[in-house]
Amino acid sequence: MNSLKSALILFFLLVNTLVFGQDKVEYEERIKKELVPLKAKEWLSKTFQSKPKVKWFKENSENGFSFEAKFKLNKSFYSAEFDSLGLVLDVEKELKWTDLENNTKVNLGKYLDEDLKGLTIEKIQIQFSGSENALSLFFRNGDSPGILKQYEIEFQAFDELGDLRLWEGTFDEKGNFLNKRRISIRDNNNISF
Amino acid sequence: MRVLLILGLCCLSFLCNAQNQVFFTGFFPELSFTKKLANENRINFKIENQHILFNNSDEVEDKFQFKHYRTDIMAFYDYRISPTKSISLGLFHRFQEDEDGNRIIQQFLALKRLRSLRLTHRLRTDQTFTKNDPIEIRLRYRLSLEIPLNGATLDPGEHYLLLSGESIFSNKGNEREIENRLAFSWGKLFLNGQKLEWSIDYRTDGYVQKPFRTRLWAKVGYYFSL
Repeated sequence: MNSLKSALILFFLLVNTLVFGQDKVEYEERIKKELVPLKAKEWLSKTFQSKPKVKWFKENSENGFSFEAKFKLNKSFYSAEFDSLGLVLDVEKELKWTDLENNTKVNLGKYLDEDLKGLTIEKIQIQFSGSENALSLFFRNGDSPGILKQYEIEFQAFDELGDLRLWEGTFDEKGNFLNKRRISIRDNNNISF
Repeated sequence: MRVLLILGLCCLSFLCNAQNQVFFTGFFPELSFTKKLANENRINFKIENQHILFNNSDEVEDKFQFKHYRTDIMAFYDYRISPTKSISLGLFHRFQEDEDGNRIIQQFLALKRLRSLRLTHRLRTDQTFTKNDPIEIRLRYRLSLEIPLNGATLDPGEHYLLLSGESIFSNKGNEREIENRLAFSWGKLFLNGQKLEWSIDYRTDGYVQKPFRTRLWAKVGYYFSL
């Protein structure tokens, strides 16, 4: 019994050392609005004048940090990314397949149907990038020159070895394929077994 | 004041009923090791230990105790059907006071990635073989929800909450039984993908085969992954 107690104490000491002994390198954290550069907040309130409820996040990495605003507007989910000084970099909006224009659907469908097997679409986003003023004008007026639109689509499809994988594909405004990368899902060993 | 009165009456009612119920509580450490194979299938080894610290049964001499209840060792082979679905086969051995038990486990797991949350469905069947006892066959379903606590997604170095509920239907000889489990966990994900979880695990059974029994476990789990 004593050896069991000693083993339990040692186990606790080990796990506590592990808990407090590690630092993270790359992570995203929820932050208060007061910690966000004024420039970013001003751009957001000028661009989305209906003043949606915004959750602010700070993305930290070895190369520095950036800010991200996530919000829901007209039943759609948006995220706007800003650099460390508050300059807007891009805005992403989640879409459903039925939201896409017919031409885009045809071109996307060509790649997704013809080149891939076992396809399941998990998530569709459209990314808008451009200058600060062009982006603001685009979201206020519905159109603006100098805006680059790209689709980011997460889908499951077989790779060349016949294994089903999760991918993030990038497509241009017309739905033409640009590139894709594999996405790894974090192991859920604590839930599985 | 009214809320306090209602809560007090509820507690009193629970304590009165508890006189007729079996209740025990204790400490439940677990250690899990998972190895991802080249084809992304996985093997897992796990050990769990249950020690009773308090038992309200009249049959025991000391209600407060430090008594070994069960130690379980198990191994699983997990075959990935898709990036979010898998099936597993497990073997299990239980060391306990009476005859030890052996179990075969079959499992289907499906993960749903939501915007910030992860929802996991786990469907299991298992068959337990204990000497001088009929085979126990069980059907289990568990729903788990993982909630990141430090941002929109769970990153290494961050904490999370894990809520799970499981219902178990069993048949042993001609006896049927239902068991429910609720678990509330607080965990940390480390840089190397390892996890530490502290949990409160509340289990009830004896819905069909009396007496009604509740078990409350303080769990701590460490999950290695390579």
